[in-house]
Amino acid sequence: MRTVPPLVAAYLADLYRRLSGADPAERADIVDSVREHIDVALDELEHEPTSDDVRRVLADLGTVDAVAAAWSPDAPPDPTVRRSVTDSPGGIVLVALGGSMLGLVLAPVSLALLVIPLAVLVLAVVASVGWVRKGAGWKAWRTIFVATVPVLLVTGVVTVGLTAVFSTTESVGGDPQPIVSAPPAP
Amino acid sequence: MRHMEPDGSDAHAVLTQLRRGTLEYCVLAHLDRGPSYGQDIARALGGDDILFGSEGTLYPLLTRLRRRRWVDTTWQESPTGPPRRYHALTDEGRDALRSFVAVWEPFRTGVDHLLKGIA
Repeated sequence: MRTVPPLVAAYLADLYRRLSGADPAERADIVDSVREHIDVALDELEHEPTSDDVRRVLADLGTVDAVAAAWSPDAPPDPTVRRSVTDSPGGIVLVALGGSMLGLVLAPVSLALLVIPLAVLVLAVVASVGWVRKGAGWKAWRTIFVATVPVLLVTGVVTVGLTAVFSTTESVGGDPQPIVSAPPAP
Repeated sequence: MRHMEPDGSDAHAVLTQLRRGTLEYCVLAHLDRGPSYGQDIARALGGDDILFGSEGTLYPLLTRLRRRRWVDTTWQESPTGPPRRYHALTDEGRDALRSFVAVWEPFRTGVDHLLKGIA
């Protein structure tokens, strides 16, 4: 079994890094296919490949940027990729507005049930991880994240506001005191 | 005969756009003749530098074709070297190729007609 020349190892590692936006399975598939291409090209030389041979094979493959660009996001949209409402800036604004409205509705309830904002917070964290990892369904995670963050913000702001109003009312009004008339002077 | 890529960044940009729309169908057309492995496809399509800028761009494209189920891939032993992935056209891929051919002919004729006489 031939050892992997350092130039090839560096090329493949660089390609793997440059494909960070691709689906993990497809990223591995592309890198494996390129590795196989290099293996076959070097095997066809029928002699121990020199560093010049390796450089020529890599030059024929093209730069890592060129290969990764063939997978770039600005490539024509794939009809089999499911579109998401948050693909466009307008969609993001709409989802965020929806989240804000939900936050307004949930805020009064959240004062009594702290479990609601906590659950939304956990959902936002899970969604951010799902979005960043770019695994299956990452667009759905992105939509959930875009919706839950305004829910948290609005719920937090409204809750703090309501608490401030109530505490001010209590401190200004205080407990009602009976009005006692001063006894008439003798 | 080996063609050279047109000079200039504008020409390169045009070529890049045209490749994006057509290269995958060129791969399907090659596979319509029978299953083939990556190196073989790269050699067939990279004979001139018009269709391919570099051989490596084939592999993201093959992955995309596989995702669309236009191409099926199987490992096969090679008598002369390491095992190779052979790519074969699926029925869906054949349908996609037929659709492209049906559109390509009038498209090319229309473009040729408009470009006639332009230096």
